[in-house]
Amino acid sequence: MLVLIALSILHIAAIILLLVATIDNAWWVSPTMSTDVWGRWVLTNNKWNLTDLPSNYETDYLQAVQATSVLACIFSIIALFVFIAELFTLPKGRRFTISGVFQVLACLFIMIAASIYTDRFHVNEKSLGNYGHSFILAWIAFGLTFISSIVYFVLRKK
Amino acid sequence: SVAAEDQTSYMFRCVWSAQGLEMSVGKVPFLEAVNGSTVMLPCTYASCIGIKDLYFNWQYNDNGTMQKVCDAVIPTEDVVPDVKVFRERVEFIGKNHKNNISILIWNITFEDGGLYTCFGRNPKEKNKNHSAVFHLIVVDELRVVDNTLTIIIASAVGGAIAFLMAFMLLKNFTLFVLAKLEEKNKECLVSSSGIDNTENGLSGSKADSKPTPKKK
Repeated sequence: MLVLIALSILHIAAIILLLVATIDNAWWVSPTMSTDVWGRWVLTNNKWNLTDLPSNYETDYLQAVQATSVLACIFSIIALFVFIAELFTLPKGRRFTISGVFQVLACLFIMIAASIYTDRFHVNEKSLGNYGHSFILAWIAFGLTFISSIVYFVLRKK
Repeated sequence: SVAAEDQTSYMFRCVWSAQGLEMSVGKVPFLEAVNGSTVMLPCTYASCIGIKDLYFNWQYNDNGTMQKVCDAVIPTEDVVPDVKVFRERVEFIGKNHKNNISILIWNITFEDGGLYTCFGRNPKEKNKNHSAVFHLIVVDELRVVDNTLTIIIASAVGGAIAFLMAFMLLKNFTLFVLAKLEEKNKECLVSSSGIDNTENGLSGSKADSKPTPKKK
């Protein structure tokens, strides 16, 4: 019982982190700017304005980061529903394979998103800013989804 | 008298439902159009008690001053009104079909862009009036809609679910076929040895059967 509650909390925490990382435009921040993956917040005259991302961002890589981070959220949420369904329908002694599969897909996708972002964006701008909280949460969510998918693959239903 | 009937009818029908005369420019009150194209500015009116000599006009907001584009008086709901047009390249196409009073602007220029107000006044409802604002935006070229993100996400989710379903079906089918083969093999073994679990086995090959205790 305790294991189930802990597992659900872990999963829900992973979903929340994934959602914040995807929705909040804060992968790269500086004192006057908070940017990626959907838009750029610029501080002008003490007011934050949402502007478009600069056109020198390579659209392929940007769309890959956007798509994979959204897909990670979607698969993690599907995995939660599948887990609840499997709790009630799985025969005793079987493993939660389908939830594990969806969760490992979510882990894979957020890893792809964060890796592409780390490698391709802001590589020469280390002095102009630093990685923001969305970026950090994306990597933490990768860790959490990885752990929870391993648990789903190992745990047997009592 | 007719006026008194209208008043009570108005009270009962209009007060609980709508606010009387309503002008609507549609669900999307703006339009982006390319320079040189022809656009339709939609407008419909609705009144819970009906109209009589409804006065309506279209006005263009020119830096604060409202210029009249066209106006007319509609006697009843199924009469095509005689509309006076005060602006060039404007044509009235509503023709009062189903309370439609839209106008068409031919070959728009950048100066045609701005806020257009569709105004109506219904004497039957104690001159209640209402207006709706439509925003016309004239652009050089239309933005190209990029769908790659939607396509990637939709195909990834669809593909994952389809793959999972196919895999489960295939696994169950293979297990089913294997189980059937096992059954066939078992049958062959049983019939060749002559020992099956019925009474017709070799004599002396079974243990003494205990009498089953009967429950009372």
